[in-house]
Amino acid sequence: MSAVRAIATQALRLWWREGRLPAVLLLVVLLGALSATLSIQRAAESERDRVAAEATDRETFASQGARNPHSVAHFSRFAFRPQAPLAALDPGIGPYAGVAIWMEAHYQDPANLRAAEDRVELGRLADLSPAWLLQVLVPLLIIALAFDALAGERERGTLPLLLGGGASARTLLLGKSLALALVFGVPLLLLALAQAPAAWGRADTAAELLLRLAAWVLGHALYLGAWIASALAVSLWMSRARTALVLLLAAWTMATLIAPRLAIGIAEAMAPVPTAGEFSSAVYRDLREGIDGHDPADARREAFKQQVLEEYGVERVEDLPVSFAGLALQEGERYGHIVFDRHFGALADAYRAQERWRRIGALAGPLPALQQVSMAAAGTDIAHHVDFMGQAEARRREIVGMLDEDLIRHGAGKDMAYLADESLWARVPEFVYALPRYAALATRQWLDWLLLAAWLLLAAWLASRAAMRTEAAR
Amino acid sequence: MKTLWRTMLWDWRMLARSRVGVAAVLLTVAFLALAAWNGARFAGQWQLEAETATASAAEARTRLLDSIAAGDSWAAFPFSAESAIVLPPAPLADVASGRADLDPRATTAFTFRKQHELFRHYEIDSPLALAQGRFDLAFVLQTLLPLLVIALGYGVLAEERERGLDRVLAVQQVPPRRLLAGRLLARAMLLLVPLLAVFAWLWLIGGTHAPDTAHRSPRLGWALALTVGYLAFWWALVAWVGTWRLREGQTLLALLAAWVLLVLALPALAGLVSRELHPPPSRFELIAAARVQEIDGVKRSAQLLGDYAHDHPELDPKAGSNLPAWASTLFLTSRLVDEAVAPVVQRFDAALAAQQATVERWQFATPALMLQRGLVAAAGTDERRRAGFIAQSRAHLVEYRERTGLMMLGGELLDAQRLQALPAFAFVEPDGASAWRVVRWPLLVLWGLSLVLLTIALRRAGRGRV
Repeated sequence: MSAVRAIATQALRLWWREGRLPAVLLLVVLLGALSATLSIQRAAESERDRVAAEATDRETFASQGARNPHSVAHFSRFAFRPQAPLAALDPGIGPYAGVAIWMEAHYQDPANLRAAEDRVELGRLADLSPAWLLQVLVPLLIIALAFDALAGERERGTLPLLLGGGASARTLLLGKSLALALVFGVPLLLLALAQAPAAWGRADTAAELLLRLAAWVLGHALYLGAWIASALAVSLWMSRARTALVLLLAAWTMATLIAPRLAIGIAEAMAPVPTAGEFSSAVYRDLREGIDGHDPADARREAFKQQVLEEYGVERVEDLPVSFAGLALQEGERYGHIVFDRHFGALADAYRAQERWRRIGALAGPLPALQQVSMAAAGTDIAHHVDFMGQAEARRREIVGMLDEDLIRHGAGKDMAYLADESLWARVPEFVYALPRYAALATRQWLDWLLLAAWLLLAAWLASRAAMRTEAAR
Repeated sequence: MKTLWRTMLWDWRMLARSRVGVAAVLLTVAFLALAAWNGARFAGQWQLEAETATASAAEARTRLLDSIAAGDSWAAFPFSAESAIVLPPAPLADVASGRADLDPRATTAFTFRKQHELFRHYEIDSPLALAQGRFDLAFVLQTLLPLLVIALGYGVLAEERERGLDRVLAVQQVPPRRLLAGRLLARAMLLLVPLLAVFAWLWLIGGTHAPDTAHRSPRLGWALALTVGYLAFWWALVAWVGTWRLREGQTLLALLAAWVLLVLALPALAGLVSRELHPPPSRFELIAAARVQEIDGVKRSAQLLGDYAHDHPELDPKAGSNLPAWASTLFLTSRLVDEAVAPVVQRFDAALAAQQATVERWQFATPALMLQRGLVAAAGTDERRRAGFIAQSRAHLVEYRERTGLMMLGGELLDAQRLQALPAFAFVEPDGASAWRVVRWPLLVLWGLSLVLLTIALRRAGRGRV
């Protein structure tokens, strides 16, 4: 162990003398501090705005005065999504996923207010966040330090001396790995810990937050470990530092720049999401003509009327003891639920299928798997987005159902002329977003964890083979 | 000229032997072909979407006329009419998708619609795909081609020095300037030829989504000029760094550091600075403010109707007696809400415009940003075309709403003739000159910078400082 420590110390000293370590540390500290501070600040501002808007909307809704319940169902409430607990660490799909849903009558709205729409488009290459820093830039910095860590020793002729002095190739590898792990592991931990105080209030329990933080750190540790092992394996395998550098840079370009975009392109082709126009046309067509295309809305309404008249034993709508308009609206909503479940269900399935297809990019490197793990831990992945849409829709149905029920009970003979008083609006339930338990979502991610671990093991195996080869060549 | 050609031939032979050249050409062709195919797919989908929206609007209109003809009194109220608002594909959507996959591209205007809610239900696209970005030509040109330039060029000069070939060449009295120019040109051609082939394909065969070639051809020319200028910058940088007398590995590291700084870090920083300097107001606040106004409008509906009647003395007070009360309330409330939230909406527009202005100032800090801004401006997938579309859409909504609202309160009912007479939306493409104004400075600076760097490198090479 002392040999490993000594090699690590010597490597750190060498990198420091060469000026590479100070440059790398300066970059990591500067970008890390900047991204962490700004991300925390932005998340806090967004939360403040959301809480203020919710309070205003609550007040507006409660003070509408006497109105027809169906008019109020149209006005309804908005479901605002709170910031994900670790969104400042990894914004994930956040800027491209809506955070507000209008829970209006007759239609399930998609989530709107996407932050990316309010900023200038810069090619989506880099969004300065702790996750981007660790996932894209740090592997490059690992390469910059490690490419000649062993190939350089060989070129300088110091490798045989080191091996002859009693240190095995494996010890050399472990020593250099320890040095790199220290250089990049400490910033990883600091970045994660810096978020904890700000995120404290956004997770339901401390245990939930710690679990998410631990998963985030572990995922990144596996990822950076895979890069460290790969870089050292290549450095030990290659006879020239330059060749090692070229190979590693090609691998980095493929793994972090090309494969993720190609993979999402494949995912889009294999699991296409309809365009907005196609989606709403299909929804309205099903609402109008029936989900089988042979059950038009007018015929449905007429059949329903006959059914209601029969049920109440009367011949005319005017003789009903309840509001027929309310019953018809309730029936329309019931049919709408079938249509919305079908279309939004298919949409969520397509999102999830794209996530699965995107894993194809993990053949070129561990980034797609890590991004999945990181976004899930941060609460900024597709699963959290779909969950938010599901919770908002459930509350929409509750609110609209409650208002229609009031119209049915009290609007007999008056229908749309019936006015309910303000006490009803006060009884309308609030939307309170419940953050899904991480443990429940994480079980769906076993494949991503497996891919991450597989990449680490593969890299470690390559490094170990390179060490054996070096030992054999002594 | 002959000796330059001989140097180029010699360099190609060397590259073919080392297999680096073959690999670089193959990768360039593969990346460009894939990106061009992806771009054509995106533009085709957009075109299909525009055609579907137009066809759906025509179907809805036919259905409405059928209902009116069948005696459906509800259908004859002017609030039943809708007007399609459709954004046709951008002229070079197949080159740079820009922000076009994010922004709304179609909606409908009708009597009760509010301006801030004009575009609704469009946020269907996969957030995962949006966040990842597209593998389009803009991405390949801005990000991957510089890496291929570095891969092909970092060894020029450094390789000779390390192998001691520079001394052999000096003995043979091969001028280093000619050597550098010849080898760089030979390697640049390997990337330039596939690039020109792709642009020729885009010009001659591609672009079925943009039938108006008058809009497309000059923009393709600007995009090509920008791209070649950008690649010239990277070759010049490679040449300049090559004269620093670094070892091959160090040259590669230095060029890579420049790539990270210019392609990743500075554009990210420009985005960050623009957002921090000009943050948009809160959308949550906009929603809350609009809803406060809406309830105010509902409470004051009688007064609003009175005010409207006062402003329109030509209206017969009894004319709209068949109209449901909620219809006039919704119409008048949407006008009230628009008026009340207009300052907040303007703040959004102003924030985005200010961010854009900041980025356009910052673009001169890095060629990558100059290329990116130039390409999206030439493509028509930048903030300008979006702003033009949104402004035109809002103006159309106001005109359509006012017309149908007045008809509604005046007791008019729809028929085929009145429906035909309602205003229709047709997007007016911003003229090419406005895009050229955005493109010309980056173009000039990119080419100027490349020439300066190349001159410095060749002078250093000529003085034997290699």
